[in-house]
Amino acid sequence: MGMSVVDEAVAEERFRRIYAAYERQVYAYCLRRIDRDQAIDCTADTFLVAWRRISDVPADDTALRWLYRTANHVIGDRYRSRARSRALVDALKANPTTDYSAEPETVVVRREADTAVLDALDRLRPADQEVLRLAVWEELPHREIGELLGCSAHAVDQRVHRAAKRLGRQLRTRAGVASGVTPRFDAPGGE
Amino acid sequence: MVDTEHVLEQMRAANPAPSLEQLAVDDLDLVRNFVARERSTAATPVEEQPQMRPDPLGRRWGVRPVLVAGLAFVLVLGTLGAGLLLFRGFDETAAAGFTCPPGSTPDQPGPANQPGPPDNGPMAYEDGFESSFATFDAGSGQVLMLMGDALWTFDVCTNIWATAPGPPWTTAPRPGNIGYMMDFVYDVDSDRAIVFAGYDDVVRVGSYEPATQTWTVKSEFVVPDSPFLWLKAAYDPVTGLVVLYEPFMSAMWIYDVDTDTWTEVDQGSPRPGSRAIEVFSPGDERNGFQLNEVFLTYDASVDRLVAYMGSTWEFDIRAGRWEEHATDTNLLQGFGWWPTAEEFVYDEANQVSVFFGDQVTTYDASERRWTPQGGIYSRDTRGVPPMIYDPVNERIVMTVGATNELHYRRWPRSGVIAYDVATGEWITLLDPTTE
Repeated sequence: MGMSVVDEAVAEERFRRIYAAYERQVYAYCLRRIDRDQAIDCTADTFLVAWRRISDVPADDTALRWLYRTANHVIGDRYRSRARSRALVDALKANPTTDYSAEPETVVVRREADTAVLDALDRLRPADQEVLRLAVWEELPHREIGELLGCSAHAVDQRVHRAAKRLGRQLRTRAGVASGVTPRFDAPGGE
Repeated sequence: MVDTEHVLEQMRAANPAPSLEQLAVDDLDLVRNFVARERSTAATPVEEQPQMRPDPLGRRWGVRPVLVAGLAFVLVLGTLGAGLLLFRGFDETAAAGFTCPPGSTPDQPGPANQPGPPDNGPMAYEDGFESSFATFDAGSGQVLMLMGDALWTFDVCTNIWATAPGPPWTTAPRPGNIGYMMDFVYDVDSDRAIVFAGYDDVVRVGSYEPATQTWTVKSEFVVPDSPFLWLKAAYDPVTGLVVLYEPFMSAMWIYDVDTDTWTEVDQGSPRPGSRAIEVFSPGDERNGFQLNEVFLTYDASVDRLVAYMGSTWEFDIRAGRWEEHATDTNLLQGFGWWPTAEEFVYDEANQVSVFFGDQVTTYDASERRWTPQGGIYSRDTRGVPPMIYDPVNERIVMTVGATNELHYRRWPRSGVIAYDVATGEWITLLDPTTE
């Protein structure tokens, strides 16, 4: 069933408003997960899905969550793999988006620290990566993350806490500090 | 101790797109052009391509417009289709589960010397031997551990043991009772834990409803002329039914606890052979063979049963087909050393099946690869107790004892430890009771 001219005009106007309101957020969301070229594609693809499913896009401010979820699916479907995730880390090492306007030495140290964090983040399982990105980079309230992930805000509290602990352990491991893999119990005379 | 606030601050600083204002305008122009073009392409037949500015990146849509427009059309439909599929998948996998109440400290050891399952038990080959099997009640966040005629629960949010009503029969192999316990599995669909037990050619079944703490004895299942039965159970979340594999006859059934019905599964060919080995045992027909262990779990990442029976087998429940994969058995020390009760469980968070014999080893079914993990914990200390996957805290939980001083004569269960596959970290949830 096709849309009438009036419907099309309404849909067009809705899409333009959504696009204007959330273009940068969606691009930033993609850029925080995949490299720049892929992020441009991801953003475009996300809005194309929104265009084709404009009647499904919420009319209120939950539209951004809908777009994030769509972008997440686009990334998961087309880009997310260990190799491509690694490509983001490598790309960021080579050309960080962050504009550090400090002294050159500070920039170098800063970039190394960021690379370490991104490397460690890359080694977490996808669910941990996502909840941390949503909480820390997207700065979504835990209630909204819960709505995105289908769990309670309290569950998000726990997931963020656990994921942060795992990220910290990965950072410590990378830094050569004891990573806590030693068993707590050692059998006397055991193997 | 990891300072999570500091870690989060480090991550915040490493944000690849820290400010929306810093996003490159050129990038957004590319997005706008692409969206505008693909929208018109998708909505109407391709007539002409809009004038585009030269693409500094030489991106694909600036090279061969007609071909790219066609590809884009497919891409849009594909994206839409994939999006719809993914939306479905997202919703299905995002079901909210039990979480620990606010203020819980699941990583802190529980109160010392609290009452718990007894550490001492008879030797395995004595009549009174009480094997223990555990499963996880995801509805209330509790480990359910069945030992003979006692049911213990372990709360993974408080790390405290408690008792619950045991089954209305004992599981020690004495005449007139239920016989050997074979497996204990949680049926999420019906919110019941189901124990399978028995001996000779009879399987006895009991179901436990945690919400009401009541047991129900189900019908006996008889396999005529079978000299021996030993069932391994796995819950299939797709059908909401329990799958049982019997390694003596290489038979398989699906059990529906709601209707108390058994349905034999056609496993096709090839399929695993019998795990029974004939041994010389004069005067005892029943003990004329030895049954090698079978480890079985349901792996949601591939929607297959994964079993280790000398080699790795995967069973496609939907297609009724086994596949065998060669396995480096050196990676799996401890397998088959009955009665250590090494367990094999699926770790949902890490999407691997986890085996623990002499050490933790994971099986990634998507890559058909076994990988030894960093954490090693001697079975001498662990003894025979079972292990489960705790989906609330996303880690493996198992019971342990304090000492191996009485190796083979002591089956410690009061201590509880957890293993986090993601980090390789062992966590003490409860120190073993000291004597």
